[in-house]
Amino acid sequence: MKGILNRIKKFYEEISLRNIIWASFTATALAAVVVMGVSFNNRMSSQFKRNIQEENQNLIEQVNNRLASYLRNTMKVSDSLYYSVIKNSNMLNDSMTSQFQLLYDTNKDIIESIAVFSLDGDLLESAPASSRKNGVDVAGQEWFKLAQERPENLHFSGPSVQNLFIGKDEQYSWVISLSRVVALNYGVRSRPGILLVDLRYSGLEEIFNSASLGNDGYIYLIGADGQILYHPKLQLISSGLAHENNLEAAGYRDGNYEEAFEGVKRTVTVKSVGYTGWKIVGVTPQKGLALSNIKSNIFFAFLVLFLFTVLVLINSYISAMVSKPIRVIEESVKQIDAGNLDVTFDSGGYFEVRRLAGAMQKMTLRIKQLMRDIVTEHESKRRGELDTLQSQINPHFLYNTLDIIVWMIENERKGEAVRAVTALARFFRISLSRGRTIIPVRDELAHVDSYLMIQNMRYKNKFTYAIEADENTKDLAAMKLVLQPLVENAIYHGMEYMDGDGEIRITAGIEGSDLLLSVSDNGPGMPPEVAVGILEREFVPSGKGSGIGVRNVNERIRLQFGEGYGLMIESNPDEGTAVTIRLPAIPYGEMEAKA
Amino acid sequence: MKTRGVVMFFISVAVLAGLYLVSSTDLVLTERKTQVHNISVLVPDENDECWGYFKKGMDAASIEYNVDVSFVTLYQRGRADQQSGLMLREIENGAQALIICPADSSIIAEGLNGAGVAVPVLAVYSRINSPQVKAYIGANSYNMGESLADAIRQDSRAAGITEVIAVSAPGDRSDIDETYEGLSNALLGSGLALRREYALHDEDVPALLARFNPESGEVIAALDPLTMQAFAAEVRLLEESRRALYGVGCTNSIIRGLEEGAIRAVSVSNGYDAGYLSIKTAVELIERSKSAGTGQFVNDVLVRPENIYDKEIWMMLFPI
Repeated sequence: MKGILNRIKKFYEEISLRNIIWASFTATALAAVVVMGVSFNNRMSSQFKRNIQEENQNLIEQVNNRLASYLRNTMKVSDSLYYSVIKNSNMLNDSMTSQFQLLYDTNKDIIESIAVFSLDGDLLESAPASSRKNGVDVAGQEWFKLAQERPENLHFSGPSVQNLFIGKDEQYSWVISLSRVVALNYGVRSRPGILLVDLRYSGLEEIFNSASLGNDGYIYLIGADGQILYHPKLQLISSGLAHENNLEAAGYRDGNYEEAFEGVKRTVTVKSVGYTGWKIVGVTPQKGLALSNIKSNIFFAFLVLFLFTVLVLINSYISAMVSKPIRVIEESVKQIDAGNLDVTFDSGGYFEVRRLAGAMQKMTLRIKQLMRDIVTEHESKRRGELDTLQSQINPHFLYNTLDIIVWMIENERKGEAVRAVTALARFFRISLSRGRTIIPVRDELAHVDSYLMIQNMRYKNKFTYAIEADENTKDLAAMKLVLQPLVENAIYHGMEYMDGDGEIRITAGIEGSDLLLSVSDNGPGMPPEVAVGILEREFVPSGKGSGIGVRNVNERIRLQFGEGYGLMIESNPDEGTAVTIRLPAIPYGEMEAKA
Repeated sequence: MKTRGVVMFFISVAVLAGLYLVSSTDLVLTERKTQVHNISVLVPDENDECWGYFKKGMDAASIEYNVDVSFVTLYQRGRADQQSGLMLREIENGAQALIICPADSSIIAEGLNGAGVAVPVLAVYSRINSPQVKAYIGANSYNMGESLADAIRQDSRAAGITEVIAVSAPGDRSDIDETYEGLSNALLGSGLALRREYALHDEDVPALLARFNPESGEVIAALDPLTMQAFAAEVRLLEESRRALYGVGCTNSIIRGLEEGAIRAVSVSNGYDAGYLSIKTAVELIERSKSAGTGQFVNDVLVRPENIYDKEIWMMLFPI
C-alpha cells in the first residue's frame, strides 16, 4: 500500500504542467459532456415518453368521445322509440311496426334489431320483422334481467350472440344490448314491457379498430366488473392463447399507470365512459416509449465520444499553448543548470510568463556578474596572498636585514644584532601567523613595530617613529599586513629625503563603530589628485621594500569587510602624507568565532 | 509522446467512424425490415364452407405476423392427387410454407417425399407421415369421438338408439380415424351396433339417407365437418322422426340444425385457434425460431341444444 502511494506520489511530482492542464480540462470536459449527454438523453426520453402518453391520452379521449356519441345515439333511438312511438301507441289497436321499421331503417348501420317484449318474454314488436326462436329463454337473458332490476335506467349489456329471432339467413351476430322497461298502453291500462335495441358489435369494433397506439400498442374496452367487452385479441383470450390484465385495469381510476404484465413493462391509460361504467384501456409497451433502440444508443455513444474527442484536441492545443512558454523557460533553466550562463530567456507567452522570463534573465546576468566578482575577488585574494607570501619571503628585505645583522655582529654590536634578529623573527612570525588573514590589532602593531625597528636600523636612524594605540583597540580584529606596506611607502617615499627629522606616526583608534589605523609621515607629500590616483591605478609591484602595494591593501580590506571600508590617503606637497585604514571595530574573538 | 498522441488520434477516428457506421447506416446493423411471408393453405374440400372459423383465425394471425395467405380448395372434394399437384404449384409460385389438411395423408406424404419439398410443411387436423412435415395442429379427435359416443349413449334409452352409422369421407385421414376410434371404443359394451359408411360425393348423402332407418333406432354420426355439413343440410329437411344426426364440425347451418333439434349433438373444435396457430407456427418455422416436430392441440366441446346458449360456448361457436 505504501509502495503504491509512493508510486502515486512520485508520478504526481513528475507529471508535467501540460499534462496536468490537459488532464484537468479533459476530465472536466468529459464529466460535463457525460452529465449533459445523460441528462439530455433522459430529458429527451422523458419528454418523448410524456409526448407519447399525451398523444395516447388524446387518442383515447377521441375514442371515448366517439364511443359516447355512439352510445348516445343509440340511447336517443331508444328514447325516440319509447317516447315518440310506444307511449303514443295503444297495444290493443295500434301497430308500431311501420314506426319501428322507420327507426330501424334510419339507424340500421348501427342497429341490429329493435324489439319489445312483454314481461313474460313474448315478442310484441320487432324490426326487422321476424319471429322469436322456439326454446329461447328471453326472460333469462342478461339484458332482460338488468332492465327489470333497475326499471328507471337504460342498461347496456353484452357483448352476446343474438339468438332471439328466426332470421332469413343463418347468420349469428354479436350485439351489444340496450334494454329498458317501458310502459305499454293497453287501452286505459298500462303494463310494463322491455324495449330492446341491439347494437351491432361491428360498430364498436370499428371505433376501436380505427384507433392505433403505435406498432405494439392497443386499446380495449372493459365493463364495470372488468369483463372484456372489446379486445383486439378477444378470441384468443377466451381460449387461453392470450392473456390480459383486465381485472386489475378495472380497479384503475382515469389516468396513466405503469404496470408489468407477463414480463413486459407497459403504460396503461384508463378513461371511463360516461353512463355505462365502462372503461377504455390503452396499453403501450414501454419499449415503444423508449427513445432509443440499439442504434440510437450507439449514436448517442458516438455523439458523446465525438464531442469528447473534439474537446480533448482543443484541450491538448490549449495546454500546449499555455505550457509552451514555461517549457521554453524550463529549457533555458536546464542550460543554466548545465553551466551555460549565456542563455537567453526568449519564451514569449503571457504577461506573467514574460515577466518571469525577464526576471530570470536579469537573475542570470546578475549571477554571471556575481560569479565574475567572486572570481575577481578570489583572484585578488590569491594575488594578495601571493604578494603577502612574496613579501614574506622577499629576499631583498631579508638580505638587507641579514647584512645589517652580520655587520652588527662583525662590529660587535651584539645587543643591536640580537634586537634585529628578534625583530626579524617577530616580523616573519606575525607575517605568517599560521596562515590567518585576521589577527588582533595588537599583533599587527607588533608586526609593524618590528619592521620599523629593522628599517630604522637600516636607515641609520634617519627617521623616528611612534606607535600610539588606544588600549581598547588592541583586541579588535585587523587584517594582517595592512600597516607594513603603508609604513614601507612612508619610508621609501617619505623618509628618503629626510636627514634625521623624518617622523612616522602610527595610530589606532575607534571612531563610532569603526577601527581607524593610520600611518602618517612628514615627508614631501604629494598632490591630492596623485594621492587619489594611487588607489585607482593598476597594481604595480614595488621593486623596493617588501613588495606589497597600497592598492593591494585597499583591495584586501574591501574584499574582506566590504565597500565601506579601506584606505584613505590624505596628502599635500610638503605637508606629508597620512594614510588611514578604516576597518569595522569587531573584537578579534568574535571574528575568529565567525571564521 | 507525440507518436503516442498521433496513434491515439487515429484510433479515436477509427472508433468514431465505426460507431457512425453502426449507428447511422445499414452497413453493419441492418434494421429488421417488416417481412411479408407467403403461406399457402390447402384444404381437401371444394369450398371453404366448413373453414369459416379457421379462416377467421388465419386472418387474425396473418395481420399480426405480416402474412399473405393463399387459401386453396380442390376442384373436386377429396381428390388427393389434385391436392398434391396444387401443393407443388404453390411452392413454385413462391410459397414459403404450406399448411395442409390432406385429402389423403398417404398420397400427400408420397407427393411430399417425391418432390423433395424445401419449404416447411405443417399438417392440420389430419397428420401426414412425412419427414417434410415439421409441425401439426389439430384437435383431440379421439376425445371428440368419445364425446359423441357419450351423447349417443345418453340418448340411447330415451331415443331408442340401436345402431350408429359412422359416416365419413373416404381416404387416409388420421383425424377421422381417431374420431372413429374414440367413438367405437366408447360405444364398446353399450350394446349399440356400429357400422362404417363412406360418403364423398353429393349424391352419396341422399343415397345413404334413403337407406337410413332412424325408426329402427339408427343414428348417423358424421365423423368429419364436411360430411356433417352435407348431412345437416339434408336432415333438416326431413321430418322430425327421421332427424337423428350426431357429428363433428361447426357451421351456422349446423348450429341452426341444433337449435331446430334436427341435430342432436355436435362435437366442435376451436377452428379459430387452429387457424391462428397454424399461421403463427408456419411463420415460426419459416423464421426458424421454432424447432420441428411440434404438435399443438386446440380445445373441443360437445354442443347440444340445451347448452348451445351457454356463454362459454359462444366464443368457440361464434368467433368474433
